[in-house]
This record gives sequence, structure tokens and C-alpha cells, in this order.
Amino acid sequence: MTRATLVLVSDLDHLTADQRAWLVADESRWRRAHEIAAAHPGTDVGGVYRVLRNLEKSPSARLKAALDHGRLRGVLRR
Amino acid sequence: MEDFAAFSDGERKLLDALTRRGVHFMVVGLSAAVLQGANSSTRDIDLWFESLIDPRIREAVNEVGGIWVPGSFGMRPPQFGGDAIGDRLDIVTHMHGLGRFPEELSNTVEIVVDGVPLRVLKLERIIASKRATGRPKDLAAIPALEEALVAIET
Repeated sequence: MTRATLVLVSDLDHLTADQRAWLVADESRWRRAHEIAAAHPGTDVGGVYRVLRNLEKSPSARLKAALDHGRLRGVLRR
Repeated sequence: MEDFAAFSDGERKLLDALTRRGVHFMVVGLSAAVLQGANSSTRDIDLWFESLIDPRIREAVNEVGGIWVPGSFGMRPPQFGGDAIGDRLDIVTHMHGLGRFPEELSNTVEIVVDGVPLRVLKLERIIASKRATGRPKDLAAIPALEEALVAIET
């Protein structure tokens, strides 16, 4: 899967400084994800991006999210 | 510590009690992969023990008011139980495609979760085990684990 990373400059005008900072940092994550995926053919860029996001969280936060999601999926399957 | 916890109070107390007593165990499976950054979900926390007849396991379970079924009993596998512990901690007795527990202990990393230091099986060994198991659900999990591995190693 490929994702467009093009952002129109005019769309950023209404953002706060914090929102702009987040967007810049997130663009950096996407760039890194593309670099990693390019070095490992067959790897999904979006998946790598998610891993980079996960690595910014604490282990407790990662496990809690995985368990919450896993248990919810189990409930929805019933 | 953060204002939320991955473990329930009973789970955290049990893992802490096991660790304080020096019981040899490690976190394996998808919960271990998630702790290392893998983008996956899981319903259980799989724990692999070196020896299920270690009396310190029962001591730890007793400390938190849970139930310990150390061996196959009726239709059930080895199991932690009781309301104090809940149903998310699963006992693993064998890891397909891996060496014996003492050999794999060197293939773990320590990760602190909710204040409890845990030995966690490395991603590459989790992948090896999933591949060796060969079940559809295990094979389906491998791409997400490989994404995590390349992201960490690159």
C-alpha cells in the first residue's frame, strides 16, 4: 500500500504552532518509514509507520492498547 | 509510573510476586512482540515457565489469592485462575521451533511493564516460533512482526 504525503501549504495556515510541530514530526516519521521499507523490499510502509509510532509509547501503553483491541475484537466476533 | 496500567491489579501483583521469588519465566507470543513495538493485538499474555513444578509459583499465586493448576487436570491445561488473577495470563508449556528454556533465556530482553521487570522473548525468536508452528493464525501474524523487526534494527 502507498500513501500520499503531499500536503497543500494553504491547508496548514489554520494550524496552531503545536499542530504544525506535530505535522512536521509526523512527516519525519513517514520519511523514516519509507526509508526503512525501501531498504526491505516487500515491507509495508504503513506498517512500519505504525511501529515507529508504537516505539514512541511506553511498553505499558503498547500492551494496554493491544489487549484492549484484542479483547474488543473477541467481543465483536461473538 | 503512568496514570494507567496494562495489567490488572491481580496480574501485576502476581508477576511481581513471581519476579521477587526469582521464578524463571518469560513473556512470549504476540504480547511479547507488542511490548517491542509490533503493531498487533492480542487477547492474552503468554508466559513460558522453565519448570511448572517450581513450588515458588504456587507461593506467588497464594500471595495474591489466586488459583494455580500446575498440570493437566481434567480437560484443562496448566492454568492461573480465580477472580484475583483473571483470565488473561496464559501458561505456555512448549514453544515450537525454539530451543529449551535455558537456551532461549539468552534471547530475551528485559522490559519494565507497570513497574515490573519482565524477561521478554526477542522478536526474531517469536517469528521463528510462529513460522515453525505453521498454523494459519500464526503465519498471518508474521508480517506485522517482521515490520517491527526491521523498524527496530534499521
